[in-house]
Amino acid sequence: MTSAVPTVPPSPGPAAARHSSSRRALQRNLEGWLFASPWIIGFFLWTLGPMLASLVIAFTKWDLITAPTYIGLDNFRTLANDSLTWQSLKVTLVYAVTSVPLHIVFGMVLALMLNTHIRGQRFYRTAFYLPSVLSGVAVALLWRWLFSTEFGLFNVLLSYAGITGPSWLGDPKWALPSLVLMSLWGVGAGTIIYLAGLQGIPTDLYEAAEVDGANGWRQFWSITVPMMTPVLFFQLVTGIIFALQVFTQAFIMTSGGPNNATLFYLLYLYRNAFEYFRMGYASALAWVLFVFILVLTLILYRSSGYWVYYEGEEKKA
Amino acid sequence: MATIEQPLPTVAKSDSRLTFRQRTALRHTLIHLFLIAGVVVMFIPLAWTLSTSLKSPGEVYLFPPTWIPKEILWSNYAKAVTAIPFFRYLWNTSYITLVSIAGKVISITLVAFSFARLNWRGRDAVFLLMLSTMMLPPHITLIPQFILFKYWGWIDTFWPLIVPTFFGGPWLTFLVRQYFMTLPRELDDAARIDGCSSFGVYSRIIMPMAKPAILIVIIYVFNGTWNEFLLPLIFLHSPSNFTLALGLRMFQGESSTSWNLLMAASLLTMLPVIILFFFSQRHFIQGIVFTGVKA
Amino acid sequence: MQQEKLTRRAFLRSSAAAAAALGLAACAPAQVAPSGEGGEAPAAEAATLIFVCDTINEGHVKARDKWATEFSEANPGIVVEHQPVPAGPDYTTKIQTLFAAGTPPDMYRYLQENTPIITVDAKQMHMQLDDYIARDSYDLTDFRPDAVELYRWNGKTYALPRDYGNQNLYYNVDLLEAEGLEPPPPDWNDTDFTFEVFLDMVQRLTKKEGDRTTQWGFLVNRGQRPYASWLYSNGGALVHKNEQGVATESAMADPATVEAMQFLQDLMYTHEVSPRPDLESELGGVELFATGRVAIMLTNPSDVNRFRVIEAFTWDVGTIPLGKAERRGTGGGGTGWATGAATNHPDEAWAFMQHICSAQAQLDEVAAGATTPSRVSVVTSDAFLNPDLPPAHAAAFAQAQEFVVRDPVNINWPEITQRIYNPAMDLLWSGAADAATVGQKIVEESAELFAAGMG
Repeated sequence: MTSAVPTVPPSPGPAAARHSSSRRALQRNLEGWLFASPWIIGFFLWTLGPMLASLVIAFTKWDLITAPTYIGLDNFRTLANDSLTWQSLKVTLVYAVTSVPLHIVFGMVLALMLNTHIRGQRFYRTAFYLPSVLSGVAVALLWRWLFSTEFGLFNVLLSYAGITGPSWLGDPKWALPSLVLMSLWGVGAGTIIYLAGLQGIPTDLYEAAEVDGANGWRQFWSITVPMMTPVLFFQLVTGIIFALQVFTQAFIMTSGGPNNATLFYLLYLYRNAFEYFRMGYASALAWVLFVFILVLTLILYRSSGYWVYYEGEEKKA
Repeated sequence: MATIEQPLPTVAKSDSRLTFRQRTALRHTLIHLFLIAGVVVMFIPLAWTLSTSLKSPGEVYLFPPTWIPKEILWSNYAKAVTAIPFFRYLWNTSYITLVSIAGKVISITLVAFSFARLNWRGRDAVFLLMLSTMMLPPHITLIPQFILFKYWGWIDTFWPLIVPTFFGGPWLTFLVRQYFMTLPRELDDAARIDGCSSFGVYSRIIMPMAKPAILIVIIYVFNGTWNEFLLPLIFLHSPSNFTLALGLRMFQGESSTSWNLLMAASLLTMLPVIILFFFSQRHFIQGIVFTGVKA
Repeated sequence: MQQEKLTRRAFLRSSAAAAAALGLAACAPAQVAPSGEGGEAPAAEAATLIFVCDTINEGHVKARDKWATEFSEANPGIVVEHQPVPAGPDYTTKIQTLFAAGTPPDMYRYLQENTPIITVDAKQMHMQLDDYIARDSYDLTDFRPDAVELYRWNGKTYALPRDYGNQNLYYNVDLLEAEGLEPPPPDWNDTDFTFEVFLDMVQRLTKKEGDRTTQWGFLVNRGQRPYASWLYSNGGALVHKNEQGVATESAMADPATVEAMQFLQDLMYTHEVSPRPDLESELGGVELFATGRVAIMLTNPSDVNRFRVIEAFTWDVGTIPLGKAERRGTGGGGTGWATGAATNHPDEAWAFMQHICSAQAQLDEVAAGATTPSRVSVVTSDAFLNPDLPPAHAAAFAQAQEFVVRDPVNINWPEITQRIYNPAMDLLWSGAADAATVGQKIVEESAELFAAGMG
């Protein structure tokens, strides 16, 4: 079947399809829903209910034990006047704004290097993937040592350069950058996503460019980058979604300290939900975050028409 | 082999007097240097895990740490697998993981196919709805979800961990959709003219070409399920149902942690993931030739 | 308002039920939930007790498995299912989820520092034990009276004490001998070992090479109970209480408190006899002590196991120095065994509770280490004091139980600690603010939460 494809004449184009009857349209819609139905059914079965429940809880005072009481918008009013909400939002935004671009740039550069046909490629790729298989708890102890002021690897290396390294996790100024640095160590995990994307770029594009005399730099910007935009778009959107919900590092490594310098939004939310018996308030925090991320995503989604190039997109006639 | 050589911007402005062959050699040397530096950084934790796993409890706490243990205790590995029902957990984890992979590969590619290659009313809205489910922190829906599964009698069974895998997952669906979107549309059109149904396009055209994307799904689901901690913690009760990720944490105590045993068990646990990755990633160098379609 | 409550609850139920109906139609599994889970337990079948506890260590998991087995065997018709959960915040997540879902454990380790007893009483989380204690004339006299008191509120008993911890100085005998120093006394009633004596001691134990400190005299433990011990021993406190015992406001700006806090900060920054917080948090206190880089530290008896792997030197324990207080005080508390109020098997749970609160059960835990038993007979037994193993003066652990100042009681205490005390204390530990400033900041910022959490 596949082998027959190249011999098939060019498609008649969407114009012919538009003449089709409404029955064809119905069938097309039906098919679309049918193929998407696994997710849709799952959504109704165990995602929608809990989501709605949490939305309702956001308008209540609920201590997890006794029955919730409806309190209208109180949680949202409290939230707006809660200094820790703002502090945690600030910490989270700084983290997202620094870590997301760094991850995308480093991830892309790394993938390009790992895509070159060099000796030991398989070994390199596996090595860079290693951090993502190590369990977080086991690694936390290691990082505490790496960041150690007196004996830590970072400060020992810096001392060779004559620099006195900071107290990484102990200094409120450095604690958050330390966590960003730590997250970068896992950049290799996303490499396979870029690699898969790079495989999708037709070689003849480069061959044609070569004939036109375009150098490597131009080929990169005019072929590789545009063809990678679907992957970059994915990494950007999901990168933002996850960065704004970052939790584990602070949970295990710093407990939000020192002096709330690493109090991520989700850590604060978690504490309200499970440690302060304020599930209602935590749900309100969650839904505010939800709306914030949704708006960001919608903006990105709308903008994608201008900068994301899909080879397989149905061209509008 | 249709390996595609990507030009690297870092070395693009190389000396024009060099021959092509020399330029390539120079470029490769530079890349090797960068990668080796990176590999050293990436190996530190693994080396450290290995080293700790072979230490005596007393030596674990030496500071600065020793890289090569004074006394190498291979027996830690035997202790680690007997201190917890390691093989029981391994079986549970393998079972959940394999079923999850099957579930996710099938459901995710179907849903992604619908979002990427089919035209239907409400598609973009449903797609955004799917993305939005990633935006609500899991901690907030955990309790309602627990109550829900409790009503179904699913608590302390594998059902809450495996059944949902047959119903897609937003992150990977989005990823696969992006990949499907890059495949030329002419393929579908051609196949349809050949009399293929939508399912035919999915199974005969798109899936065979989407091997890298499917491998990514397998790798991510494998690693994700293998190491998943929160869901087993909440939904499983009986120790006989525990997974490795949960079992590993049994070494972590209130005030003391058996770091050497924890590391030994961690290494054994992550081995399958590393092996899977090592053998599967070579598929990412086999470029897919579909350039002829456009000609 | 009552109306609202019902509708919200009803909504949760019905939305879950609606989804449940859908799900059952789609792919419900064949088996039914075990009786402990379902809500309505079948009467005739064996009662399954769900027994949830954080791991602590492997030995404790095994000890609890043993209790579950022996109790199930001795009581046909009752099956105890023991579920170990990783220690730490994950345990909290699990327990809170079980409570929120209306299926609390039939037996669990209750951490009163996370969920103050006043909260348990206000929300009626636990089964009350008083009727059972009266019915069976259950003998509480062997328990430390203060430890039993820890779980009583408004005249009701909500748990039985498992352990009752405290703080003692651990010191490196070899390093002290090398300096010809008299060790900290093991007797908590001693009056000679004062803050001044202590300061002189740790100054002599601190060694420098150039500007690098190679050996520290002391390690300031920044945990709340450890630092509170210094406040208590100087006549200060964490909080002020009313006659009921409820914490009403912070005592962190009291002169005696501020003085003790300043003493701790000066140990790091003025006298430079204690490492600064970054080093300790990176390396861990016990690790610094175990490698001989710190001569003295303050910590809990349940850390003994970690010290017993030390082979390089001899170590022992003694009391915290005495400041301006008439009597020493140590921060402390402990954990208890409790049954969720919604249990389907209260009688069986009570029977099991007696089993795991027995002297034998506590001895099982002693064998696993990492505990300070709440029963006097156990804490003073040879099994606990173990004359064959260090520390030589383990009796100090038992005596210290009489000097414990219990954790503050206020519904908002966990939040006040995390939100106000900890960040402000970070300023003290990092040298960014002096004790008076930090104390004042805590008092001002916490007033509202204290007032709101008095029940």
